[in-house]
Amino acid sequence: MTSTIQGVSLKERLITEFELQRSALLLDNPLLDNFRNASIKAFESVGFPSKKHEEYRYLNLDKELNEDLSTPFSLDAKDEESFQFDGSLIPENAIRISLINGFFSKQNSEINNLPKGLIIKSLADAIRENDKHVLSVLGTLAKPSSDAFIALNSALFMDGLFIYVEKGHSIDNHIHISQEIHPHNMVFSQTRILLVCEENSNVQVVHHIKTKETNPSGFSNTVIEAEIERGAKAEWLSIQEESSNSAHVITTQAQVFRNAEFKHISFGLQGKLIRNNLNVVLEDSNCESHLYGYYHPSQNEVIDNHTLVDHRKPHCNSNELYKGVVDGNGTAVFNGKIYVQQDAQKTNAFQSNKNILLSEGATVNTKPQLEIYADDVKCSHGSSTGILDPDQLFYLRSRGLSLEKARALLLSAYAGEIIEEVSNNSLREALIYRIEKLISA
Amino acid sequence: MLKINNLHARVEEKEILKGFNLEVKAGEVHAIMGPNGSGKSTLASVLAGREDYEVTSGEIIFDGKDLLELSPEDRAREGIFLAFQYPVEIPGVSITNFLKTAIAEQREYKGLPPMEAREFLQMMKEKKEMVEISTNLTNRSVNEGFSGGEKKKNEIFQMAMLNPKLAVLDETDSGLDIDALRVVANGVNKLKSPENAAIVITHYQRLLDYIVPDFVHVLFDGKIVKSGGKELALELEEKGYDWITKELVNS
Repeated sequence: MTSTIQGVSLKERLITEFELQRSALLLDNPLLDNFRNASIKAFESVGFPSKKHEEYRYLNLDKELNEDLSTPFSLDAKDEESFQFDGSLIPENAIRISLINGFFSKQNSEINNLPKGLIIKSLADAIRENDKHVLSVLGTLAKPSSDAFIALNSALFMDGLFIYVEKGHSIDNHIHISQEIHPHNMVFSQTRILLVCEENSNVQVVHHIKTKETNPSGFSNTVIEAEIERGAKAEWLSIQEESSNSAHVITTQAQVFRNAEFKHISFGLQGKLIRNNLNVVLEDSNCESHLYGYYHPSQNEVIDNHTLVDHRKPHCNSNELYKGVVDGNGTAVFNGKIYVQQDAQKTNAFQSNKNILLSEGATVNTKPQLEIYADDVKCSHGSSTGILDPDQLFYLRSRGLSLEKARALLLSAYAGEIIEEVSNNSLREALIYRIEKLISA
Repeated sequence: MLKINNLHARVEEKEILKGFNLEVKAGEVHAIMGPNGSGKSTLASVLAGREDYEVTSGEIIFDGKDLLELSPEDRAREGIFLAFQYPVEIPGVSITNFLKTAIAEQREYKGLPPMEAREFLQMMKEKKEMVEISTNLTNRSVNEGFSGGEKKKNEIFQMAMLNPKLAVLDETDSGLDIDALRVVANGVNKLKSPENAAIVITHYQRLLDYIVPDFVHVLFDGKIVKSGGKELALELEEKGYDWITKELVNS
């Protein structure tokens, strides 16, 4: 019961903080006023989701939403100084971006000499400059009324990242975003990222999410909006390595237009609690989405992936494969929705979720959901949960591999199917190294 | 090399081996023949250490060691190799990577330094030629999408790479056309030496045209009921297993 009271008081305190910071939150742009007001109202009316909420049934957030959490309204200079990139996840010639506690760190980011056709800046700066591309997209994809965490982020974010790829430009360099949380004061960070890919552009993003291993714990709330316009292609690789006492809700809302393609690959490797809400709207005909995920909760970790692919128009393809390994007392949740709207004839939609349980204490909750309102479509979904195949293990052991080596070989092969989807060689190697370390832990 | 004394084994409460005895010396090839359900595959599984087979009594001594005390991987490292009747498909694990790991584990167990990459590749090349297996196949995942013949060739290839003291071939001839059978048998014959031995388990005499055994044993109802030279296999082929059962009833 006490945790419910804490949740309520946190909610009230965040609303009070909003009122106190109202003018700072405008970011010198009066046009933001309506958006902020609507957002805090939406948050006020829905509040934090409890386990009664259908979308949060398997996720107990009460304990994580500590009443002492508070949103930072400025960036600490010491945090900027102690920030470090993880070199292994930075492909050659990548553009490096540092986000700390929801703020764009100019000191650590390298945005001078950007390739032609690419604009990257602090989201707060873009709003201050009244960049028309920001204000026309912000909050139109991730709608504050649709979810408490989107509403809260929309009301309270102070900064973040704005990426704009101009028409017809193919960006060869990866964009590496290192998003770090320094939870020294029970930080409740609100990070906002906006990606706009104009017609026929092409971009690849690596989003590395990490929290410094410190006490007290923190809570992060990240919202990513991605608009992939006609004929554009975007690949978003998300690597989540949270600390053992930090929680993170990451919402990604992508809108994909005619002939465009969105590929999202998610690696949930570590964290006390990670919730991914990945929503992809296939807005027009002939577009594609490819969603891949690997997750590996161990100890008492919880990794929850909720995905939604919304087919609105005909002739679109969506493909989704999420694979998990659950160890210790870890919990994994997979919920994959596919909507095929009435207009979306000739849709091809495939989804598969596979899980391997490595211990008695491991738990998986998996739920594929298909809602189809068109009659000429090809859709399938499947889900399986099991243990490592004893026949495969025996076969490997009968050739002299120890049980441990045999398990590691099988688990690496299992994860390999997702790693293969990453187009960059050095990133694949870095992921293999990390996953092998998790496997042998 | 191998001595099996009065072996009793069961699977899921059903006793399959009921007092099995066999002695194999270095340089020998033993064929074990018998009708379906006589216990042939159980023998292979027990030798390799499959856990769902329970040995209720008897002993297996391999090179002076109590084999039943060893894990499946230690048996392999000691030099026992089972060519599976139904080789398992392992998607995502390449044959090369698998064999590299297997050899590394075997060498570590024996206290040998790791094999040089160049030496390993040279060995791969030689053994591939020996068992007529293509690079195309060895670059693929273990047995994934292989034909029946390719799976069996891959078993013999692994055997060639691991160079066991005792090879146990479990119905290696089943599902093979005559060409694949010839290749598999050639591989086994080329690997034969005075230091190693083989147990060839088969239902049909056909394989024994290619791999000529020194001894033939007939397994029936969990026991060896008749032993002889290679001519026993021919006699069995001619008269069928009924001949043995009748002889048993009459005696």
